[in-house]
Amino acid sequence: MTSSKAIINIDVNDTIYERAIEPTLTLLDFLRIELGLSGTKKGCDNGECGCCTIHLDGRPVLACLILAAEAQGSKVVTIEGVANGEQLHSLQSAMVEEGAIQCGFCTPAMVMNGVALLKNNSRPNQEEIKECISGTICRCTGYTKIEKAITSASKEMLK
Amino acid sequence: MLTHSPKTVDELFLITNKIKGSYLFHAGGTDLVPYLKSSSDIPNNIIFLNRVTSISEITVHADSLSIGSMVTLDQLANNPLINKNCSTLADAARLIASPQIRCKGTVGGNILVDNRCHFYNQSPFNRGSHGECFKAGGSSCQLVPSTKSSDHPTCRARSVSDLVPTLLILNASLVVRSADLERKISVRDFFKDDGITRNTLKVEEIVVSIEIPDQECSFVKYRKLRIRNAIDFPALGVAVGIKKSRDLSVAITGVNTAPLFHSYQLSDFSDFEQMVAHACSEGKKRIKPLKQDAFPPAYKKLMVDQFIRSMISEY
Repeated sequence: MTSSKAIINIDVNDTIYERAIEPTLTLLDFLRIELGLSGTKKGCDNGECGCCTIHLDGRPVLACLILAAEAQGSKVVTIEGVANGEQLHSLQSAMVEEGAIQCGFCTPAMVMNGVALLKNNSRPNQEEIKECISGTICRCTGYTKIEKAITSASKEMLK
Repeated sequence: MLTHSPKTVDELFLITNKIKGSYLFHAGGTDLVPYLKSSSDIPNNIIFLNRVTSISEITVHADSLSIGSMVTLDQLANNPLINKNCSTLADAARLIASPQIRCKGTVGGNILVDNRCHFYNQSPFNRGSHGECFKAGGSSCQLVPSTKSSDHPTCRARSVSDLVPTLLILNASLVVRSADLERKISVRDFFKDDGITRNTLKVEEIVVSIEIPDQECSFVKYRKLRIRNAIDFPALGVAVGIKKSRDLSVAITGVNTAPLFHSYQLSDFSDFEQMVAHACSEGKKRIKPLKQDAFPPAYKKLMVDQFIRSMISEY
């Protein structure tokens, strides 16, 4: 139960990883450095920019505010696990079609926010979409197109 | 540093009895993890509470509502039992931080959240360039430099919990456990007017649950002032409650070292309007905003009045 290094087993994008880690290692650094999954971005590293949004046991959370040791036994989905092989998720396609990607730094987090919303709410209204992406800062201020992409994806997913 | 993940409250206290050195309880971690990153004072042990399922439940009793301290803010905001029996608390939870933080942050964590200070909440490197303050073990307050007494250090860091004002109005109690004792304390008696110790919780204790009695108030509202709506702690948070007897209570957070609570009986005033005017005037008098805060002191005082009156206008 106790050791100077914590042994963790985490399911990341349907692959189980077992690692011995420093107890202070964040889940964000675990994903990016230990597993090489650099799609999840490191912005402020303080919970303010929202660029490190991932899904932990189905809920959108900030990987920079979670110690990897706490996520022992959890299921994590990162941006690398959203597409089905070569086939993009409807929201990823909509982001491309709507021109919702500018510099791209916030894009993985915006997709993770949107996917979490659409999983529980197939017809989100504008307020719900704005609320869902409110915790992630787009430095290019491209919010309108991101909102359009989520709306467009929700319509596509209902077909 | 060692990590521990107990599954029950009893197992948790077996661990605290065995381990040597300092330890911290880790609830949601959304405030603790940034602290660990910036602090040079890392504890020897971290005890994760996320596997203790018995403190993650919401239960409705005959005359009260019990909310486990590890219930997340997102669960609180969206729980049907809470929205049916105590919707004001769900509304307050929706105003906390961002959606992602609400999915991780907990009710207990929000009640116990550390006070905020423009000086203290920087990295030790930045703080060191000015000389340490009371809270960091120094001998002066960098916000109010005239406060020098090392015998009775007065830390002016702001109390910033969004749930506490509503819990004060609802006369909630905290169920607190240590290895050999369980005690219940009213939220109204829990906080200390000191930005360092903040409350009466001892190091070896955890908050197990929050108990909310059947509501005396027929109307409860909470409103919050902040710069970035999606994430900020309250620069000012005001809750009002009106009982069936039309007695009024007001709770204020985000400004003073401890949350403020005061109640007014209609029978002490000539009419309801006079009581509201008195509550606004008292609220403005009692808050002690600092000029270093995000909004000017005069603006915060104005907003206390505005918030109380606008919420009561919805009654």
